[in-house]
Amino acid sequence: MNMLSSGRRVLQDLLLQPAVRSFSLSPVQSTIIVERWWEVPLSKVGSPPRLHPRRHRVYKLVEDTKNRPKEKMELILTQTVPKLGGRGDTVFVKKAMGRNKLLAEGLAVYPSPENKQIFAEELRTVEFLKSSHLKINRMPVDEFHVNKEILCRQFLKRLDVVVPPHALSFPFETVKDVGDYWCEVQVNGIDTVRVPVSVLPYEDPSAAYQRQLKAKKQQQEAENISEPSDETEATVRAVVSDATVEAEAKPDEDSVREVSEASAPAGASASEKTAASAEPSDDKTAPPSDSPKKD
Amino acid sequence: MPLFKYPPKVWEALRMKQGIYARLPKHYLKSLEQKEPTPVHWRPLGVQYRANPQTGHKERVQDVPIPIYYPPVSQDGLWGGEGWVSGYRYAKNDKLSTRLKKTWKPQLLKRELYSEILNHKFTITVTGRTLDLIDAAYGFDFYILKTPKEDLNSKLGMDLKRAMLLRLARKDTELYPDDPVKKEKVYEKYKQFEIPEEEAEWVGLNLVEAVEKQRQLEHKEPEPLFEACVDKLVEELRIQKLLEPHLTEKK
Repeated sequence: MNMLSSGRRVLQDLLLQPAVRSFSLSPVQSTIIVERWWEVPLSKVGSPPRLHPRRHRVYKLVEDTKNRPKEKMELILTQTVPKLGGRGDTVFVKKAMGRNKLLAEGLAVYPSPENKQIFAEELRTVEFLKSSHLKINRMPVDEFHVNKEILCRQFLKRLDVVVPPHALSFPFETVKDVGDYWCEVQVNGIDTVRVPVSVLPYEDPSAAYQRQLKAKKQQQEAENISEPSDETEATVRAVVSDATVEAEAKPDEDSVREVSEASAPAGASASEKTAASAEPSDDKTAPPSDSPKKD
Repeated sequence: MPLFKYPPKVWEALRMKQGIYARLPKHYLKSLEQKEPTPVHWRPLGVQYRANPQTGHKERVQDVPIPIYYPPVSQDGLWGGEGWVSGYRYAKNDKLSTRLKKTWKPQLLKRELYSEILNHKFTITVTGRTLDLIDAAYGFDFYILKTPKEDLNSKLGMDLKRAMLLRLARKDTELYPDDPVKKEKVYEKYKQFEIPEEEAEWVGLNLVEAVEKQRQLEHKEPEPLFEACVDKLVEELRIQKLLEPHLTEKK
């Protein structure tokens, strides 16, 4: 029987290699790993190795997994958890906390590829909605009004966004006038995005009127460039109202004024800044409620 | 005659080829073949040939597994491939000192694990390794469905696998009958593991259970001899009637 000095050193070098595992990428996390003191003589191909009943049963403890430093586990949160983060965040937590608290109560899920895809899609939805602005043209009908169902349909038609009625909240009930308003859309989980909605005066879709409009617009742009741009709020407001609303802007509700300034594309006034800072803080409020998927 | 027709070592294999054993389904017989489990308590070399560190020449090497004992209670829990490693050790890790008997046993924990497909919380004795494997497979149901029989090494594990596969195969009647939204979600998640119901019924049965199941399938009520005799008599009388000459009176 040859001594194990060479074999032992070889085995010690090879101990660092992880074993092949069928489905997981992590190394083998056995509880006890042992190796033989005595080397087993090589047997012929096809026949099993002959083991001595005592000598080849003498083992040496190589590693006990419970003495390793505890690794942290990766999870994706589904709700806001204090001290960890909000929905969609990937966090590293201790295994005890993750298994007994987060996964058991459904506050988090495993970061499998399918789950990661779902959360990435949600993020994209929220980003898209945040940067979108719904514009509805007012129809020359007496009974024209904008309520929830009409908003849903307009979302579908103009922005290709499917919003079921129970995910949409329109705080103004019915709206008949031209002006700027907002609505709140709930995405998937808990995020509520405020989308500015503006009702514009009627535009005739016929080609002749469109050409007229185009000519008018070009005229006005030329006028605006020639006029020196003032920094007072009044002139800015007047310019803004000329550029966006074709006809005379009807008096809006006072509470909506700030938001309409913010949603207007031009202008860098202080009111716009305050409204812009108010908007993101509104979006972060997360009242938990159920809601559907966005297509 | 000192020798048998077949050597005793092949008697087991021969027994599986005759009688009711031969009538068992083929996919079940294939699943009975023993395969090697993933090494748990030892580190395999993984290669067939390597360079000898002393001489540098190429030499053939082989993996010799450590024999592990799986007590019967391991079949009632999910030990994740762990078992008792019993052997000897040298005192003070020195080959020239006394040889002492040593048994290493795994640390068992009782945990409540929830299965989505079966919609039930099971209290199972697991080991730390099992919990790590469940995390690596991204879920308890995934772990049960993905691990092969040799790696699960537990009757309870195979029974759970059979129950899950049957529920997926009978999804219309059994999988969340009251909640169609949840049913769709769970089915989408696990439909990659679905197998036909006839195959799912045989997953994880041991030989005795499988033989009993086959016996039940082949069982027929014995037909009373009376009916067979009556049929035979009627047939004979009919033939006799036909053989009689048909007399017609000429008028």
